[in-house]
Amino acid sequence: MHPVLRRALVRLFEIIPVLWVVVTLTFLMVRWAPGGPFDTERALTPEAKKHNDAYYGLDKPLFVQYEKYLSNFLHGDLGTLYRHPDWSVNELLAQKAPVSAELGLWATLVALVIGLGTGVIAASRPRSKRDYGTMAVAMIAICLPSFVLGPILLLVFGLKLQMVNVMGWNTVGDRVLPSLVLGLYYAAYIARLTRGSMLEVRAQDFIRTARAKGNGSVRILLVHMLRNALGPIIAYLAPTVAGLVTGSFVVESIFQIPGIGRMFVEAALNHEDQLLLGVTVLFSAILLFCNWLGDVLITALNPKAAIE
Amino acid sequence: MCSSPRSIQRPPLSDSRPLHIVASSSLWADAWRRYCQHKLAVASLALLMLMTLACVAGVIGVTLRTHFGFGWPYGYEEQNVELGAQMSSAAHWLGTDLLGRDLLTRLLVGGFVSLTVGMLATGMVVLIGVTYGMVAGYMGGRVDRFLMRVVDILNALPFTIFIILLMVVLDNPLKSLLLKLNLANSQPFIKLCLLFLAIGAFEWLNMARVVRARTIELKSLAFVEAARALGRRPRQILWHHLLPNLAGIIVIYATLSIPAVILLESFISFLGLGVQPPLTSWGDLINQGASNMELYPWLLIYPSLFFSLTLFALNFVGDGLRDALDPRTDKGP
Repeated sequence: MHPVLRRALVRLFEIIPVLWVVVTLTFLMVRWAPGGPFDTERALTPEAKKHNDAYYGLDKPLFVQYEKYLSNFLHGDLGTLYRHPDWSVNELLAQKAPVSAELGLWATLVALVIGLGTGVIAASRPRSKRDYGTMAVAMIAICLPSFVLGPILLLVFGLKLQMVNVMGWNTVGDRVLPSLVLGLYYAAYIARLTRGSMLEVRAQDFIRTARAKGNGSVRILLVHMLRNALGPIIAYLAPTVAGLVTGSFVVESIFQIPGIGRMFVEAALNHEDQLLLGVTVLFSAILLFCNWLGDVLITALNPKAAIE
Repeated sequence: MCSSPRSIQRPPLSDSRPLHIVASSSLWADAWRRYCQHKLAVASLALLMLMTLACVAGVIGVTLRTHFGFGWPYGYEEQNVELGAQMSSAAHWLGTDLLGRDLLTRLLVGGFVSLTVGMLATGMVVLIGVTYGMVAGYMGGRVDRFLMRVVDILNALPFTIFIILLMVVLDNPLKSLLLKLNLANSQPFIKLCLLFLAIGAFEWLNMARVVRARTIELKSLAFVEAARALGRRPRQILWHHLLPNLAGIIVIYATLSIPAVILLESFISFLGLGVQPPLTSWGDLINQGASNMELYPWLLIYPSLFFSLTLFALNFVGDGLRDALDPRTDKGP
């Protein structure tokens, strides 16, 4: 079998035990802590509490509960909410996930286009004014996290200039600010990373050869340098895309976007354990998958790594 | 403070020409000289020290006021509801919030909380990360493979979510425990400890990896071999021979992890899951400012400014230290 393909398959199977560790760990964290989900409910009589516990199987030993959760999980069922028994976690996720995914994809686009663009521009003339200028801007963007940038942009463009809606997720215009706020931080990071790894490649012999063969500087920059500098960028991008697509807590809270991130924060504030469990498992699965994809891409770009 | 290496003029030896001998300088003196060439890093360090001093002074003043009635003119939780939210004035330099609390006082106390969480969590990162990385790197073989597998698995987890999960899960048992111990008043502080424990528990992975890589490099060098040949035990080698040589990268990564931790803390406090009122932190203040920004924009702008400037300074100090202590790494501006 082709070594790249083999490595991809091996890595894919390695996800399974890690995911099992995640499910077990989160399950134990949520259930082991003294105090069940109905303990904060003052109005509940002992009989009602007993009934509730029996209904959700909370009176059974931990191991039995774990077995049930795991078997439900393997059948793709993440359970129902304790406070609102007619809502299942699956339904909620299916309803909110597309919104977060769309926001995440827009933000990824912002991060990639702006990040790669500025990185290449900076690396095209190292240690020049252009280089230092763009990198200073990138540093400023890194120091303006989404919970600073979001409210300020909202104040300026939403409240003062009234160019965009303050909240909601209905028109195309509603997509602009959240995507920018979410993506800009990562764009700055990708710009720094791109510049760094391109400068590393720049010093190598094959670039000199390419230049000696009469390639144009743009072609060298984009084809020879960028392609060989992509490794670290993809390695950074894989977990980032997972984080972006599965919802940003802060941006969704600021712009009142009905996505997974906001739901997770609300679940955390309301001790909605079953939902927390479900979201954590989903996030971990997507993150593991993205890391796997990134690994495959890197080995495809540089097959030498697969043989080691 | 910043000076070029001293050149000492020695009395002429047998040959009559004056001889310039460069006085030897230690690793740290060398690094400090290199650091000083980095103007922005020096300015950032000054800003950071100023900010830290102001926050500490503010907290001391507020504490004196609550216990002895003198010191700072305002307390961080003293409300003046009739006053309400006011723009900056001679009495309140940065204005007041909706409950009439002095914003500057709250910023200093909040900054103290943010910086303390940053320092303590970083302390934990150093403790766990360095021990773990050194043991893995020095032992090598199966132990190393197992320990690094654990790091890989932990690294594959969405740790922001796990930190939030940890805070939520431990919230109820903590409350009941404190009620039993009659310590209900100290609950905000306990929550703070929980926050830095949770952050520290996940932030050490990077440190462990870097320390392990450098330990593997170092242990094949002759001086470690010599120490082993002289019969020094592994613990002595790790402590006396490897640790001093690892100090540089430990300092670099510790400095770079402080802004990351502060960012994480503010992020969690912004979501309302971190520090609990009346205690506050920068993330919490930005959150309150954001919810009132239409009428009282200064409640958003001043905390954002304090926070971003500190983050900026911390990042530049980290970059400067990396350039100064580890000249091999690629220098990013």
